[in-house]
Amino acid sequence: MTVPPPFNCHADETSRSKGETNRSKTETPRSSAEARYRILAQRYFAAETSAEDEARLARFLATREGQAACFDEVRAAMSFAAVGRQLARRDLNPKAGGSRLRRTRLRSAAAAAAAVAACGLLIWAGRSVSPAEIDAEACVAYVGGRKVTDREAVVQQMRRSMARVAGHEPAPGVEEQLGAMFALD
Amino acid sequence: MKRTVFLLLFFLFALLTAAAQAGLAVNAFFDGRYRQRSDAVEVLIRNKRLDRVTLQVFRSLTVPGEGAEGRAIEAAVLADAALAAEKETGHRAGRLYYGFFRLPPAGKKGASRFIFFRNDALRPGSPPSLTLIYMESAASMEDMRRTFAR
Repeated sequence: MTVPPPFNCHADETSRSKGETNRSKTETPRSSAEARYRILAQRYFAAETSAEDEARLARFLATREGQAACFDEVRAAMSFAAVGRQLARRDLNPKAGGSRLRRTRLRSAAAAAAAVAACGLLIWAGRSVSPAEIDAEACVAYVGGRKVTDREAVVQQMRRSMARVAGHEPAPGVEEQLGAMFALD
Repeated sequence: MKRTVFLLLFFLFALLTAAAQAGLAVNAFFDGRYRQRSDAVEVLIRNKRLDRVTLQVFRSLTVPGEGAEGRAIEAAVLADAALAAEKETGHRAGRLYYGFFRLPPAGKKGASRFIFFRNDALRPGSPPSLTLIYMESAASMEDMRRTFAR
């Protein structure tokens, strides 16, 4: 049987591992097993192998012996065919074999739900807090752009604002001033 | 998957909207925007006792009552007034001249909330100032009257 073109070895091929001699693909096989699988590889390229033969060849290619350079082409061809079969299976049945994609989607949905729940909790907690409580200052006034922190001065400003609501200018007697708050015009 | 995320986002948006409406409209004007203004006075006090009434929170704002700013504050007061359990109001030229409102507590154990408003810009001859007061106190409106009424 003639050797199919894809399996012709090249004489200048370099070694794969340390200690291994620089062997070409036309060199004598190291073992009978290698010789058998070389023939099997040739039959693979000639499309003469059965599914069992191909499985056996694939198992051999995974062994140390199967890492020899002379099996590079058949390894590449079988890998390409395996990926193609996997993609074809996914196209025919998108749900099957997509467990990783399903897990990713579930994680994304869980993260989104957690984000919504966290935002909801923050909003719910914030509802019971009036804006006044958020303010760190307990006694402060801003008069014409100037910050006043003197307690008496701030209280004075408070009384003046209450007097304005009452319709009066500030005067001695806070209670009288505040009483006007409830007087109707 | 896309529909699930869309639904979650929709619910979040609804939640945000509801939360925003739960606060008082007048609170927006106490966000610090007037602190640098030369024509404004803002006061913030907590836990001040005035005669027999303890004011847990006192916030007041005095600004020019004319123009869009006065209208915006008036609109906020009127919006919150819809929640008032007790109210007293006066009007001039179809606008809110003064208003005293008692609102229910924000939480189960919260103090009553009061809003006092007066816009002298509507009264000819008066200084055109608008005063807005927000208070939180355990006192009732009647307590306020007894404490401050003549």
